[in-house]
Amino acid sequence: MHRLRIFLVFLFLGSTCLTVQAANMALNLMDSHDYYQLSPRQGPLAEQFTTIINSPPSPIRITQKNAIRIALFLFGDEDAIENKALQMTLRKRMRELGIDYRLDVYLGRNHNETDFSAYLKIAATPPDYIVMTKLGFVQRRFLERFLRAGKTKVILYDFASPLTHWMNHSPLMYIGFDQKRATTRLASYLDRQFPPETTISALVLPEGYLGHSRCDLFLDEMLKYNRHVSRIRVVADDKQQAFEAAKVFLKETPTDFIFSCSQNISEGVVAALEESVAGSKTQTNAWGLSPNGIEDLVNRNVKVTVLFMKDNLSIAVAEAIKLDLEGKNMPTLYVANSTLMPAELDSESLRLMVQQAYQYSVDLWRQ
Amino acid sequence: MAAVTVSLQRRLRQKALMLMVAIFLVVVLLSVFFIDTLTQAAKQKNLALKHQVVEQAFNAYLARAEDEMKFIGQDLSSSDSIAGRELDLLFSHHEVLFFGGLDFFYIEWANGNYSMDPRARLFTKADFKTVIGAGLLNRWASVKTEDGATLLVLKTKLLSEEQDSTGFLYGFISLNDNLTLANELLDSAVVSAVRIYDVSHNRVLLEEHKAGVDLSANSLRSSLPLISPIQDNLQLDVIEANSISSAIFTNALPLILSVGVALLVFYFLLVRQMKVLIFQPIETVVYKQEEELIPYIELQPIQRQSRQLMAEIEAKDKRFLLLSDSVHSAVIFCNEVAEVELVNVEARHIFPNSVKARTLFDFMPITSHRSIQDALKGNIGITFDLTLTELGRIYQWHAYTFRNESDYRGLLLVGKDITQETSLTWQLEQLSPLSSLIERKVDTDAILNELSYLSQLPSHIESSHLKGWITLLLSVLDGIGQQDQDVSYLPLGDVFRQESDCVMAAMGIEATRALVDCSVETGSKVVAVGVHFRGLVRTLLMMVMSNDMAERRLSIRFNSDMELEIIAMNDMAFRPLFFWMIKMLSESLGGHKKTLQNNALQLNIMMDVNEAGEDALSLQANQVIAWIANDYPYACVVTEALQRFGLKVEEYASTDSFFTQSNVLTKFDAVLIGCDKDVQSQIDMTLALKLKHKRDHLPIIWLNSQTPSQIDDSVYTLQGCFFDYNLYQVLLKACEEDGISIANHNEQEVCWVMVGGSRVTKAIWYNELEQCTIATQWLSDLADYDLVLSYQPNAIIVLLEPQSSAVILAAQTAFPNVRFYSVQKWPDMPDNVILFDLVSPNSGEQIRFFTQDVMQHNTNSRSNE
Repeated sequence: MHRLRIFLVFLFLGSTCLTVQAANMALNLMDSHDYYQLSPRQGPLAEQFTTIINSPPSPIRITQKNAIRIALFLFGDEDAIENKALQMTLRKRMRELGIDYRLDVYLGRNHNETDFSAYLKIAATPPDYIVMTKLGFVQRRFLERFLRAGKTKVILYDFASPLTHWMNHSPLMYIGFDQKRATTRLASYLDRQFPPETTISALVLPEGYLGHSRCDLFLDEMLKYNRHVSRIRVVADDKQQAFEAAKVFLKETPTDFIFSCSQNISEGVVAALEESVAGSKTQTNAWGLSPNGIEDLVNRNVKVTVLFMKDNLSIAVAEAIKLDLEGKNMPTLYVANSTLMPAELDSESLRLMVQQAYQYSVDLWRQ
Repeated sequence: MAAVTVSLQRRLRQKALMLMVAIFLVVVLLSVFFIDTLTQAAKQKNLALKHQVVEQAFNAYLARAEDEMKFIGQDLSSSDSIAGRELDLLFSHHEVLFFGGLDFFYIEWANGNYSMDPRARLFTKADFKTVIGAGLLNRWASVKTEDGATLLVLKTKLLSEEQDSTGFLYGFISLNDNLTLANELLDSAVVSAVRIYDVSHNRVLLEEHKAGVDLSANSLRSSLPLISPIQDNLQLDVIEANSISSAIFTNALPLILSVGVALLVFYFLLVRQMKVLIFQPIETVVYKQEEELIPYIELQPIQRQSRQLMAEIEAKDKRFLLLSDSVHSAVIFCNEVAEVELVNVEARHIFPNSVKARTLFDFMPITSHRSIQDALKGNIGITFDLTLTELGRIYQWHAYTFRNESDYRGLLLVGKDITQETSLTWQLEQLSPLSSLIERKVDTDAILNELSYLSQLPSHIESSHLKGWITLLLSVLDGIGQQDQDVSYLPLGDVFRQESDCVMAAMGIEATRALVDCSVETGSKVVAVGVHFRGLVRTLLMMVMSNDMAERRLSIRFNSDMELEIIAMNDMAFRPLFFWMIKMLSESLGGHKKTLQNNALQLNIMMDVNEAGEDALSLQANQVIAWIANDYPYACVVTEALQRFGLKVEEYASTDSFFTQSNVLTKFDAVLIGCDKDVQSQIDMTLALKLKHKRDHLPIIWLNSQTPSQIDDSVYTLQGCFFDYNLYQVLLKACEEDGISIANHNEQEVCWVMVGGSRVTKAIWYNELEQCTIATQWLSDLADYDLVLSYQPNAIIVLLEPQSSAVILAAQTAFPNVRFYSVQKWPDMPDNVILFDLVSPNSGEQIRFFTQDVMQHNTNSRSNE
């Protein structure tokens, strides 16, 4: 335990020193296409798994000796609707599958990374499964010991880019969305929707996984479509910062569309838009559903939302655990679907789409 | 067949050696191939590793360039640069730029301005608007400009302190002639050549190879995707020159050598084991003829076979020994140097020393040594007799040579006990051989055949002829039966004359027509003549004379001094008796018989010729012979014969022509009178000549084709057949008489012609008149008076019998000087006949008175005239 602590301290210190080089990220991460090319067996397995996800649950066939322990590592606000939806869906599905389990929820704070108590707890009593909902440099090194030991199975939640260096000791499953595909689709949609003279600004994330796979890609796509992004500002993935930045944008260089690189930024931008002078036609985009997401769409602050089938991820976690318990073959990578939800759709359609995306947790979103 | 001997052991050794060499070669090739394959695989693996190293080197280069970019970015962000002076600032600060990976950079400010690294123009002249369009944020991208520059571009944001984007920084790595990058790639993994290929744009980004390396030959090539931060799908080719070097052989050499040594050892072991396990047992089998069974199954058949063969040989040997002991002959085998190999019991009995002796010569008597040596030299048919006095036996030894088992000449001596045979032979020599008696027996079949032939003869054949024929046959057969011991020496011609005479006498007229061709010279040879020769001549004459088919000719001549050749023309082809007889006779005479093409029989007999013959008389060439042919059948033959004798011949066709034409010549040494059937004319002429010459012994020779019934003793006749010698002999005899001179006789005293009279009367008259030396001619009647009287115009004709007066008158008229006297009276006796009546029978005294009276009367009457 002492050693682990020292290790973690060094790891933290090391990580601050480390200048993450964007170009090298391509060497460390693989997208789904590359991964399926590298291990061709995964393709058919992923298709089978997708079928399982979309099918009604079938109870587990084996009898468990003990209840399995699942550690669910959440970040941010525990009461956030996403986290709640996650837990709800997971529990529901687990129940449906008839798996005897104990779910321990650990919370890691987004902004205070120095609090490693949750990690230490998990390390002290290793569960059977760890569901990690976020992968950063801390999580990466923390998970590697479990991966190497192999006793505790790791499921990476909302992260669908397998790590190159983990190929030897792969997690139980990477579960997530193809961010690049979603971004490309979004850029394409916007290009088709916007008239040529539309001015675009962008609030982008600093360098990182999402910053690279979403923001840089979006800027490159715009350049490809010969659309000039007039102003670009790097903001942290924080609603407040985005709000302020958007306000600056709206004040200094009013634009037709402010690209938000993440859901938090989008929420900040939407707040800024709402605060700003009514009648301004500036719009933004959203990633996923916010608690008042539908509303934003309806009042056209948000032009388009990338709707992730988020419940499928939770279902995938449950099914992955079930398959693992049954000792069946399963894919290492599951890429869930995402779709564009434009503001032009009528409310009923929007409702149906939400219903489809959050089949288990739709009630939460309606509150 | 040239026997080619083969050593099994040597053959096995050779085959094994060849096999080992083949295995060695195969192993060597396989090991070289295996090592080569292993090396290749290792090199391939190594190359994959090198590929990664190169990849890492490439990525490190990119990372370095990225760091520089970050550095430049931070520098630009942090410093309050005066617009347009940023580059100067950067250049003045950072020497690192000139040794880094980044070749040049380009800044695109948010306000639309741009700052371009002046180095950029060293690499491309292209418009940078298009170049930077290819740049991707935080990702390397490859771009190929219009002027052919291949660039790697990285785009980063330039941020102000407010995290506002102030523009983009583009960093470029030119891949054209980038020796640093190329050399880093080459040196990182020590490869011969590298090539970076953009698969998605199908273009070569970088290509470099080490100087002085030939890649056209055998080379190892790894072509794998390049995992790099570059957006495009790249492929990295790594090539390493692969020298198919002697290193393989060097590596394989210990293995090859060890395999070779192992095989060589194995070969020697194998050969040794083969020798020990197979060939030595075989040798022991060959050299040890032991009784116990060979323990080797494979060799047992051979042993069985050889035992069987041995047993067979022993059995044969025993049989042979038994045989050699039981033949009652002494048998001795010896080899080429006369060493004794086998002596049977009898031979041991004869030669007791043979047991101890080494060679034949040690115990065989010295007399036999030469024969044995001859036999050993290879002469064949060598026999010799040995008389063993101590045993009282005579052995006849035959020496046979043979090829013995060593292919040398061996000798087999077989001695046969011929004691009894010899004694029997001696006894038999005292007895006449039975076989000759058997041979003398008449061939019954031949006689029966002959008799059946004779029985079928035509009926007109006279019995006398047949009788004579049988007599002759019997005489010949009798001669055959006799021992030919009484030999007399006679001229050959005489033999033929006698025999032909005999045959002619027996066979009659038919026999006389044979021509015997025997010259004087041949005939005068004196030869030893026995019964058999006579019989042979007789048989031949019989054959010739009974020949009806062809010329009856018998030719006799001497081919040489001794060899007599007789050729007989005959038609006896179907009468085997004669041939049997001739065979018998000629065999006993040592003659040789042969049938010529015209069926003539040719006999060649070696005769015993007595050279010292008596001196033969010969005829003189100037002697004159009168030849009166009459009706003699072969007149010309006689003429030719006479001419051959060198005599002068006067030919006359008949008696008349002789008397009429004889006025040319005065004297004939001999007169030959031929006759066939007209015997009377012959007699008449003889009588005429006698009367004319008034003597009985005249050189007159009668040539009769058949023996006349009555022969005048005073004339010479040709006995037997006519042939030269025969004639010659008669002529010789005849010529001893005084010749006949025709002219003188006419002048001489009156010839008395006696007419008629009985035989007795004539005899009485002849005697009386002979005493009175009165030449007489004797006529039976006066019918042909003119024939006689023409020669005797003054003749005194004494009529012993009454004659027709008309004839007497006619004769008186024709020959007026003729005086007719009669000794008896008949009624109408003409007047001119003077009668002296003599009392019959006429006595000598009466005749003397009559003669005196007539002579006186005649003298008176003539004187009166």
